[in-house]
Amino acid sequence: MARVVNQVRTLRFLAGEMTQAELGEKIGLTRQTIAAIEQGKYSPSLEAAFRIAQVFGKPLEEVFSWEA
Amino acid sequence: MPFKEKIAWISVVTTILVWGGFFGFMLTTGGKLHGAVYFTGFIAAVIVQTILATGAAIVTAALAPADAGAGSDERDRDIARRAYALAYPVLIGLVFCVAGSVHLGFDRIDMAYAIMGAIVIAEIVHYAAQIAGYRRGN
Repeated sequence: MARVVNQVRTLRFLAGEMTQAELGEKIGLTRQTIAAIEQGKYSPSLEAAFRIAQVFGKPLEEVFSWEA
Repeated sequence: MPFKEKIAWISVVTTILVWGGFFGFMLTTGGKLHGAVYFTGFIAAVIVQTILATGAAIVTAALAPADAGAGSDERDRDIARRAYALAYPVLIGLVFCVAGSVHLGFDRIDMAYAIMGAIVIAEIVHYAAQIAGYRRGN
């Protein structure tokens, strides 16, 4: 089944093991929502996805991709 | 577990216990007791649920103040919207059934309690849908 996959966990690690709470605070999401995104249980809105990419200084397609 | 899911669990459990007890009492007594008994039970149920749900929410917030202080984000709002979207038709359907019961000889008092029952069932569906949303992740 096609789904959105993401590199948020890896990018947090590369950003000095940024915590889920810290990332959530930067973009206005809760820690639990960041956890759900990382687990692939929740696909964020386009706005939230852009904000996450902006935090890590990456283009959107390097953070989120469509896995067919 | 997200704070809002904990609140949903508290709400669903207290609603089932308190209102299940109240309506169970009504059914087992067959509505044969004096109306004041049921009205007192109704008021007591409202008070008991308020105390239980508020008390449990305060304890839960005290145990995880950071989570309790966080506002709703887009996922919380999505889950809440979907839960309402599920509970609202349930409420409307049950209220129509209650309205139709006028033809079965229900009196106004019976109908008032039946509408209260419909609200309670819709609330249980609402909280259960919220819990399912958080369990599923979205």
